Amino acid sequence: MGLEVKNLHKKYGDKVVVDNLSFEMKDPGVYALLGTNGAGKTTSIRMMLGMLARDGGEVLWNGQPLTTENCNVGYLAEERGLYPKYSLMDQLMYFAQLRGVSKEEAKKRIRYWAERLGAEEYLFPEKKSKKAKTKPKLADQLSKGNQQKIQFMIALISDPELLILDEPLSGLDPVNTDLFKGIIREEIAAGKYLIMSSHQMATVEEFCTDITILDRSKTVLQGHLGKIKKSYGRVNLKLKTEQEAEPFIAEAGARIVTKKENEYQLKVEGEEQANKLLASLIGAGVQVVTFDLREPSLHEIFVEKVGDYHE
Amino acid sequence: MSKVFKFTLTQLFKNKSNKIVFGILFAVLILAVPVASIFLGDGGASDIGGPAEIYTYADTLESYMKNGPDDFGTRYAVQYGYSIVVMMLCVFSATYIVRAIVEEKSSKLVETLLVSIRSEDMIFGKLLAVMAFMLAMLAAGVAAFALSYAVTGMFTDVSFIGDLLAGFGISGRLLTIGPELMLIIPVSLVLAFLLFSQLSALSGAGCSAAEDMESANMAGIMAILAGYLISTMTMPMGGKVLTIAMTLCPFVSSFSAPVYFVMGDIGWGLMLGSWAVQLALVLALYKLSGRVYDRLIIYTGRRIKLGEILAMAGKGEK
Repeated sequence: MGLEVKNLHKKYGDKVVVDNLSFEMKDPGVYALLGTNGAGKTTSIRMMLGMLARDGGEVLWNGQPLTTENCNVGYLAEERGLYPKYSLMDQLMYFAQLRGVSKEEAKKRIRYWAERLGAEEYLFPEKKSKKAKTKPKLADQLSKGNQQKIQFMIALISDPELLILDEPLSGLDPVNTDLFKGIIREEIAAGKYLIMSSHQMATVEEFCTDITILDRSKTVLQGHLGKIKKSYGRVNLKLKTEQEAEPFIAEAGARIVTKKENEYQLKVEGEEQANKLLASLIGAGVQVVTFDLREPSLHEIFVEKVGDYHE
Repeated sequence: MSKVFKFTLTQLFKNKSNKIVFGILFAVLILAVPVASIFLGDGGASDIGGPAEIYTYADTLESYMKNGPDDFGTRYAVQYGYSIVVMMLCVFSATYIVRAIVEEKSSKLVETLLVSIRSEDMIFGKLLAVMAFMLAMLAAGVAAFALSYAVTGMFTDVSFIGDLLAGFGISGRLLTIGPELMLIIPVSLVLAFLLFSQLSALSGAGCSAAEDMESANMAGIMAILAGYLISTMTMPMGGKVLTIAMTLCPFVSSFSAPVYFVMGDIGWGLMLGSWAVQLALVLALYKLSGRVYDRLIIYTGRRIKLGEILAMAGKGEK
């Protein structure tokens, strides 16, 4: 049954901000909501969670209207923060209890996630001596990345079945990015339903099976990522040679996208054209170091679909 | 709602500046009677060495019949005293409430919270926590004063306090003081608090930045001051129509109704009517505040004024 979003619609005055968005997640996995800034991703998520009234459409969870009572939801909002002057532990306990987690269970989970995310020193500071009192850490004493760890913990504390992550990796350093990615992978492996909104296409590509691309409130592309890419064919060619290859590329009719010494990123029309180029290179005795023919990346598909917006 | 209440109340008690204010208030009230007795009392030890003497008021029948059981001075003094208590409770609370709401909005916590709780429950939980905190302060203040009065009375004459009150025209002879007051005063205070704090919450919901906190707070305080001024000005005037109007008119009735009851101007019927009007308004504002809060989640512009907020809430959409 899973999650069904049907004809979600929202307008402010005459301006339509979400235009009949529909998608479905029958099985656990990761669904990506992509789009330019202001395309309607966050508004759609807010409507799904009932924070914003919908002008039309419905959101179903296992056939019933989605509410936080019938579905255990974890949400990492794009606009996220913490109480700056309250202790971190108090805040985590508060959010856990708001999500219906018992005090004892919350303590266990906080300990677990603190270990996983490397946040123990903020949540369980060591006493300098037996008599010394430990001062609880406040949110405004943490760096942005460490605050994000606490916010991620809040999203995960209820062990949600549906996890909505709005720009989960923005502002993280590479080490913490990998840490977060590892946890996202674990959540996927645990059979959770994830909805992810991100501008980092490589990350989306890494996790998501299905996508919707929104542009100015409208759905411009939707479907299984693998199938979408396949429909474009293998048109990206990465070529590296020992000798100059430009005349052969021109002769084969391929287009050079970038060139750095004898390393080329090429656009070809398909496998036939690529093979013709390879044959001519080998025939001419040019030593080929790399010949990698691939489907377009999600980044390229995205730019192609919503590129008009920026032109 | 209970979780929001518990969390907010705990944080209010944990707050350093609140602890200091609480400490100062307690110390001032503990010292109030002994210090005042030095300057206002006769300074002598009590003859009986026990609790203070009971103050009694004697009047001639002729004077009593001429002036009646209440007079302008008494009405003014009682109204003034009660209004000060209501005003202080509501003004201090307004500041706490606006701060709590704006802090959450400016900290970008709202969305995370709203996954778990309805906005009106979140606001109401906060209001109840602030009310419990303020009432705890009030109760601690009263207890501190009572303790100070009792202990000081063991060593010195404290009848000057009764004299002072009599000087303002306040004495048990003129007031309808009975066990029902134990119900009327707390219920009236709670309703007054809820009414004015809902307004402050609405005003706070229109802010998205901490810089707007002062002006949002001012909007709530102006409403409290208006109620305070109207009640203190109209109370001494008396008159049946005015009494009924001031008892039933919300916001003003928070200050006036219990005083009219104490003065014997109204009975249980009008008192209950006044409570019913206030309660209905509290419930309406409870619903409106949630709606307004939802509508302004993503709003990050200038502060929206209270009038605009009420107009927006009336449109009935998130």
